[in-house]
Amino acid sequence: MKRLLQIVSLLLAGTLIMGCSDDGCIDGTRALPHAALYRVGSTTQISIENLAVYAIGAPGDTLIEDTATLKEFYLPLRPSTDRCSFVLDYTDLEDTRDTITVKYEGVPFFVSEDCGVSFFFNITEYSYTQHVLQQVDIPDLAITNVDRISVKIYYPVASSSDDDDSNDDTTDESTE
Amino acid sequence: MTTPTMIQPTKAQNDVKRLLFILPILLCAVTSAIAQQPDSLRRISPVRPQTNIVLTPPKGTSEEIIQQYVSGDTAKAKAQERKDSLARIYPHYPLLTDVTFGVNIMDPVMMAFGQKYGAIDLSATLNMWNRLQPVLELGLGRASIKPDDLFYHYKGKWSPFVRVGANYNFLFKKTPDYQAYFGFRLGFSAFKYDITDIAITEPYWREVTTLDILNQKSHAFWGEALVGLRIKIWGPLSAGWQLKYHGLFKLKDTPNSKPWYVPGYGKRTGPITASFSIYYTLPLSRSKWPAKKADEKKPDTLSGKSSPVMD
Repeated sequence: MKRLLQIVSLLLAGTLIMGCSDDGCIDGTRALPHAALYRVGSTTQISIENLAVYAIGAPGDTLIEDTATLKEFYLPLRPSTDRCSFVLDYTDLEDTRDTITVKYEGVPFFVSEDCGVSFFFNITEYSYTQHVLQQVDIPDLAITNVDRISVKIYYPVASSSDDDDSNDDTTDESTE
Repeated sequence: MTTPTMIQPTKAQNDVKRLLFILPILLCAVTSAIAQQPDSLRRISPVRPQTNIVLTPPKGTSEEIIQQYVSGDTAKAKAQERKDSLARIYPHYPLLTDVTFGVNIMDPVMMAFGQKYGAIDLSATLNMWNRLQPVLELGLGRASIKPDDLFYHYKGKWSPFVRVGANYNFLFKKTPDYQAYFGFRLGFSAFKYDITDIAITEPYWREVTTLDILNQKSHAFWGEALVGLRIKIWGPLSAGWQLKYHGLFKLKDTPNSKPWYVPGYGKRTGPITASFSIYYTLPLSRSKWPAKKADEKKPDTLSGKSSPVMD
């Protein structure tokens, strides 16, 4: 019995030492509002060709998205301020842009050992122009490191077929 | 007028009358005589050829039982022998078998090898019947981590914790020097921590924000299921492993953080942990402990296997 217990102890120690490992950051290190484009009155996502996205005041006028066919994109909020304005530039339409302005509070939050600290945001107000887009909806005003669509931008595009109001989330439509 | 005449009984009739008077008396006398005879004369027992042998006690039998054999009371001797045999198979330890004090040295050793958190805890275990063991554990835990690739310093201050629970020793038939057990614990800790030297980089805006998150207060309540081994090292000293599976019943988050380390529990995200402790055991009611097997002379055989010896 004594010998058996000693062997089990050694095996247990070995298993524990071998079993130690880091999990890594699986939560995400940044809290970014995730925007997606929809057709008005539906949950059908659409894509827009030749769309550029940037924030007003960004250093070097850096673009978030550079004239691409977009269906989804991120809108990085500025931690040092409480307001950001993002421009959706429809490059196919001359001098036609929409602007989405977001007012928020930044909250530093320690996520985990592997992910560290990031800013979470509580959106307090938002506004937008309606040159091309029709509506912006932010259903969840808390922006955390969980990657989910939090900004829904609706466009008045005609449906590609009369009966596509079945609103399948996987359906994509394109507009110019 | 006729004169009544007396009819004289014949001799035969007189003999019958006499017999009827004597017969009941004789019957009563015989019955009472039979009733007064001793039982031994009336009992009929099957007699086998070896009925008149005497079984010798096995080697190692105690003197008291030997005397019972010698006196001819083999039935009583065998009963006592059986009782002793059961006591050897199912040794009964007293209610207060011993009390054990332990110190968990797993975390201090791991911290010496680079682990960024840990606790020092002391335990007191009351061994009841060498089976049930209520346990109280008290300790202090802390954490300090400053990753190379992330910009923060998590500093968990020394904070107390308490765990209460019990073990059940599987090896209750063996000596308390060697134990294998399972158990459970309920733990609680209230603790504080700071997160300093934070630098958050926002690549799009090309900004780096530095800040500290101070005076974070939290508390946690958790449960543990464990298995453990304890092995005697020398004298009253023993060493033991515990492998624990635990889960948080409640952990208070703050507006700025989720606690990474809970004193007495470990990392918030780790469901399995282990401990290695050194124990000092103080025997209680030592005189009531069953004799160790090594001290006993094991009998060669028990009842029925001894060589019969004729008187």
